[in-house]
Amino acid sequence: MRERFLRNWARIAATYPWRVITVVLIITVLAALSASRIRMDMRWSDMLPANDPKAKEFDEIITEYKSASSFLVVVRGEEEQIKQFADAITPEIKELTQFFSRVDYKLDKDFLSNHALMLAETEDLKTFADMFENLDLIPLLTSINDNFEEEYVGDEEALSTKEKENEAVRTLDGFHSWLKAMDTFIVNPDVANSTLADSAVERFLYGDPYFISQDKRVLLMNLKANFTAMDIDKDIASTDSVQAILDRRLPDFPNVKAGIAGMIPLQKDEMEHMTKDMQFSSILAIVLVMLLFMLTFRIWSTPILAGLNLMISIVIAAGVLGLILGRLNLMTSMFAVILIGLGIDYAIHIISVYGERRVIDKDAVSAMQETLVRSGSGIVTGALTTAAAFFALAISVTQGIKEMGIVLGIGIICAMVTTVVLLPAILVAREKVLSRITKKPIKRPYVEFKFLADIGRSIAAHPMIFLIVAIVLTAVLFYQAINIRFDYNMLNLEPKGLQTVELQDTIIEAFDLSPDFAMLTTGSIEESYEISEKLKEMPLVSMVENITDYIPPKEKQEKRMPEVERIRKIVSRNTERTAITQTNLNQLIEQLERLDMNVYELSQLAFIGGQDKVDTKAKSIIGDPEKKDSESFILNLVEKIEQDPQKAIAQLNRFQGYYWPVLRSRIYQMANPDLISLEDLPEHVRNQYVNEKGDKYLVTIYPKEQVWNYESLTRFDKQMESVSPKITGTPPIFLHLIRLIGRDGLLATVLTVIIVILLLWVDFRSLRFALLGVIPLITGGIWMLGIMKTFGIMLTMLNVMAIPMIVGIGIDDGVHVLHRYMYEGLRKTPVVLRSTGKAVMLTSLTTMAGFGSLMTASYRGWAGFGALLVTGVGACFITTILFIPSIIGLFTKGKINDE
Amino acid sequence: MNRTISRNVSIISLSVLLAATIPVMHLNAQEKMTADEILEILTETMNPEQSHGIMTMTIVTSSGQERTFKYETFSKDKGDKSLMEYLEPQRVKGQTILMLNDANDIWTYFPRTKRVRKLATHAKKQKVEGSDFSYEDMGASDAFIEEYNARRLDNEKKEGRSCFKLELTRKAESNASYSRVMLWVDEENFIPLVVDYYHEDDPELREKQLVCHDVQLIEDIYTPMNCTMYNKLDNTYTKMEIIDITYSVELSDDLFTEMGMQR
Repeated sequence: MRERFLRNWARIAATYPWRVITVVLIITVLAALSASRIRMDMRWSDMLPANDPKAKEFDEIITEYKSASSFLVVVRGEEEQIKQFADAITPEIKELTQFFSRVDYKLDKDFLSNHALMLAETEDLKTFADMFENLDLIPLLTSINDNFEEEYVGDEEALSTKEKENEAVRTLDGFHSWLKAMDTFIVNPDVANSTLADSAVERFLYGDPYFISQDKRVLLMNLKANFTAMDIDKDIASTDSVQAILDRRLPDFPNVKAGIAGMIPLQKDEMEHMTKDMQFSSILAIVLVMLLFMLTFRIWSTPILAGLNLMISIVIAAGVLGLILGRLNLMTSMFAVILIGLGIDYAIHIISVYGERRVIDKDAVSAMQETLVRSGSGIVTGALTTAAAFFALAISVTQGIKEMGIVLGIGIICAMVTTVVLLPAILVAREKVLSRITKKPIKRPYVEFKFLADIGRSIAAHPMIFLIVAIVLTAVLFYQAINIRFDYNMLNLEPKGLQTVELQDTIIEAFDLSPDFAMLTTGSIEESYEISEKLKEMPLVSMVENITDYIPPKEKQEKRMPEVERIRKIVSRNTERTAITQTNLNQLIEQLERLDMNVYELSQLAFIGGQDKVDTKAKSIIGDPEKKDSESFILNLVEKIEQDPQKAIAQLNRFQGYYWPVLRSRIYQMANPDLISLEDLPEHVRNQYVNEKGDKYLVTIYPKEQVWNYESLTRFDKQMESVSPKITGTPPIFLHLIRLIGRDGLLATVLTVIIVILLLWVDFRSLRFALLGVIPLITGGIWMLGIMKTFGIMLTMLNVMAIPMIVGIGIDDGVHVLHRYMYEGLRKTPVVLRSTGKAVMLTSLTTMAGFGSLMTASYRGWAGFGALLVTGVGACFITTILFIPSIIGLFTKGKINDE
Repeated sequence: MNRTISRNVSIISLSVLLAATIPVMHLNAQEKMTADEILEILTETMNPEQSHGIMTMTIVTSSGQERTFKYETFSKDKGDKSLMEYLEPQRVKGQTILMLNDANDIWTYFPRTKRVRKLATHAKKQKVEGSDFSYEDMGASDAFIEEYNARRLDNEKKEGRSCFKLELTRKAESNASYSRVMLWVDEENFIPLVVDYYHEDDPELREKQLVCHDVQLIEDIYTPMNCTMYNKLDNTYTKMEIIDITYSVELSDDLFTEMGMQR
C-alpha cells in the first residue's frame, strides 16, 4: 500500500509540479503566520516540570512582584564622583516612566525618620535611651563609649551574623563621619557650617545614605521595573534606554565606569545572543550542507532547491509547533539548526536515486515513480524511527527534555513529509525549466568514494584485527568516558564577556552578596519574621530582605513601644546645653582616647574572628596596627585639640551649637511610638513585599558568594531546604533542574534505546540483526564521551540533553548498512561500504555540518551542545564502519564478493 | 575561645587519662558496656586535671583562605579554668583570654590598651574566633550526658580503628545546639575519633564533623595531636594541632585571674 501511494504521489508531483509547489507555498505562508505566534521562554524555570512547586512559586513571584525582576546599575570609581554620577543620571532614568517606577540608590529616610526606633531591638532601645540622655558633645561621647563597650566589645555575639557585622560597619562609619566633622570644625573653621553638622547627624543616625560598598568605590543603583522580566520587549527596550543614558553621561565623568546587571538585562542579553546565534547558525548550516552537497554530487542548482525544500519544511514545522506548543524554550530554540542537519538526509536520498533513475528511465514521471518507490519507503521508515525515538523523550518530567522530544519529533516528520511531497515537484519543475532554456539533455556526473570500498576489502580480509583495534579503542575511550566531568557553572553557558555576568563578580566582591537571589512567599508578617531569622543564621546567606524590615511583628512592636516612648520623653526633657570649657576639655580628650581604645579592641576582636569588613573599617579610624607609619585619626584629633585648646573649644562649641537642635529633633521624630501598619508603608515598599491581594509576603535571600559551582550551589540549596522546601529562585531552580535532567536524561536514553531495538527487531525480523544494529550506537556513545574528555570538553546542563538525541540520530548509520547487507548478502562488504557507506558518510557529514554550525554560537551552552552532537554523529559513523563489517566478517566464511 | 582550645587539649589528652585509669576487667567487659557507661568514661576523659601546652589553630575558609593562630594554653580543675595567650600572629601577640565556670565567664586582655574586658556570658553556642568550633562542640563538661539520650549501635571501624558507635539524641527539655550527635569512640583508649553533629532543626542534616587522629602516648596519657572540625554547610574547616603538651604541671590559681592574664 505504501508503495502504491508513493508511486501515485510521484506521478502527481511529476505531472503537476507547479500546482504542487503552489499549494505547498500557500501552506508555508499559513504556517509562517502560525509560527509568528511562537514566544521564546528562555528562563531556566521554563525547563522544569509544569507543576513543579519550585517553578510555580518562581512564576507566581515573578508575576506578582515586579520588584523580583532585578535591574541594577553598577557604578565604579572614586567616592565623590560615583555619587555625583548617580545623582546626575537618576533624573533621566526617572523620566523612563514607561519602564521604571523608582530608582533606589539612597536610603529611604522619609520612612526611617518617622519610625526608625520602632524597628530597633528592645535591648538596643534601652541602650539608646542612655545614649540620648544628654546630647552635649562630652556626655554623648561618654555614652557612645559606654554603649560601644557593651555592644561590641562586651558581647561577642554582636558580631556573630553577617547582618550584625554590616551594622557594626555602618555604626563605625557614622562615628567616623562625626569625628571628621569635629576635625573640620577645628582645622578648617571657614568651611565648617551647619550643613556639615547636619550631614554628620545624618551619617551618625543612618550611616552613609548611598548604597555604596565599604571601600566607597562601588555604588549600586536598583531600578524598580514596572514590568516583569517575562516581558521580553520591555526587557530589551528598557535596557537599551538605560544603556543610552549611561553612554551619554559617562563622557562627563571620565574616571567613572558604569554598567548594567540583573535579571532583566540578562534576559535581554540572552535573547539577543540566542537570536543572533540562531540566525547565523542556520545560515551557516545551510551553506555548509550545500557545499558538501555540491562537492559530493558535483551539481550546483539542485542543492539550492533542496535547501529551499528544507527551509520550507522548517517553516511548516514551526507553524505546527505554533499551533501545538506555542513556545520555544532554551533547549528547543535551536530546533531549526538541528532539522537542517537531519532533514537534508532525506533530500540526499531522493536526489541521489532520481539522478540514477533519470538516466535509466525514459521520462521524468517514470524516474520519479521509481525514485520514490526505492528511496521513499526507507525515508519514511527512517524518519518514523527517529521521530519515535524523539517522541519517547516526551515521557520526561523535565519540560525542557519533553518539549525537545516533541519539537524534534514533529520537526522530523514535517521534514520527511515536505521532502516526499515537495522535492519531487521541485526536481521535475527545475528539469522542465532547464530543458526549455538549454534544449539539451542534462549530464549527471558520478562521484565514487573508492577508499570506502578499499576499507571494506581490508575489513573483510582481516575482520579479527579490525575488531580487536575497535575494541581496544573503545576500551581506552571508555576509561576516558567514565572520567568525564560535569560543569555545573551556569555562567559558563552564557556568552563570554557578557557585561551583565561580569558585573556579578564586582557586586559580590564589593557588597559581599550575590545578585542571584533565592525567594519565597509567606502567609503572614510573623511567618516572614520567623523564616528570615532562621535564614540569617545560615552561613552562606549575606542578606535577607523581608517585610519585617519595615513592619516588625506586632508582638515585637508592642514590646518596643514603651521604650520608644521613654526615649521620646528623654529627648523632650533634653533642653539645657553645657558648653565645652577649659575645665571640661580634659574630659573630652579622655573620652576621645577611650573611643580610640574601644575601636582598637573591636578591631582586634574582629581580626581574630575573621570579620574583615569591621576590621578594615576600624583600621581606617584608628590606624593599622601592623603598619608602623599608620596613624590613628582619633589620636590625631586629640593632638590638634591639645595644640590650640582655645580654638578647639570655640569651634567645638560652634559644632555643638549646630548639631544639637538637629540631632534632638531627628531623634524625637524617630521615636514615634505608634504601631507601624501596612498603611504606613510607602507604596513602593508595599509593592516590593506584599502582593496585590495583600495575602502574601515576599522574602528575598541573597547568597554571600558566587553560587554557580556545584559545591556552593548544593551547600546553599541545602541551607535553604533546611529552612523551607518552598524556597525558589534561579540557584535552587538550576540545581533542581540538574537533578531532574540527570534522572530524565538516563531514563530517556534507556527508553529510546529500547524503542530503537524493538523497531529494528520488527524491521529486520531478526533480534540478532537488531542487536548488531545497536552495537555501533552504544560504542559510538562511549567514543563520543571519551573523545570529549580527551579534548577537555565537559558535560553541561545543555549538552547532556543531546545524549538521548544521539540515540535517535546515531542508529541510522547502522540501519542503512545492515539493510544493504540484507539486500546484497553478508559477503559483500566492499560493495556495501562503497555504496551505502558513501551515503551514510555523506548524511553523517551533512548532519555534522548542521550541528557543527552551532559550535560558532556565542552562547557557550549551544556551542557545547553542537560539539557533543558533532562528536557523537562522527563517532557513530566510524563505529558503524568498524564494528558491523568486522563482526559480520568474523562470522562469515567464504570468498569476498567484490561485485 | 580559649575554652575550646582547652577542650581540645582535653579531648586530645583526657581520653588518654581515662585509658590509664580504666581497669583491665573493664576493658574485657567492653562488649557488655552500655552507651551510658561508654559516654561516662568518655566524658571523664574529656576533663584532664590540668595541662600546659602550645598549639595552633588554622581556619580555612570556603575560598581556601587560611588564618593561623598560635597559643600557649593553661588548664586546671578538669578544664573548669583555662587561660590562653596568643603567640602569633604578631598583631595579637600577648592578648590573653581567660575562661572560668565552664566557659560561662570569659575575659580578654589587650596589651596595647592594658585593659581587661569581660566578653559574653552566653557564648557557648557561638563560633570560636570565626572558626568552625563552638564552645559546645568538644563535649564540654558533661553536656553529652546531661543534654542527650545515648544509644549504642554496632561497633564500626573509623580512621582504621575499632570504635564504639553511639547515637546521641537531644532530650526534649534540652536546649543543646544539635538535634543529634553520632560518636565513634576508640575501643582501646576511649578517644572519640569521629563526631558528627546534626543541625539544630533537622536531625538528618549533618552540620559538622570532628575528626581526631595522630594519637600519641604522652606522659601515660593518650593524646590526639590533631583534630579537625569540618563545617559541612559552609565548606570550611578548622584544624587544631598540639605542638607541645604536658600534664605534669603545677598551676597556681593566681594564674586564672585578671592579674594572671596580665602576667
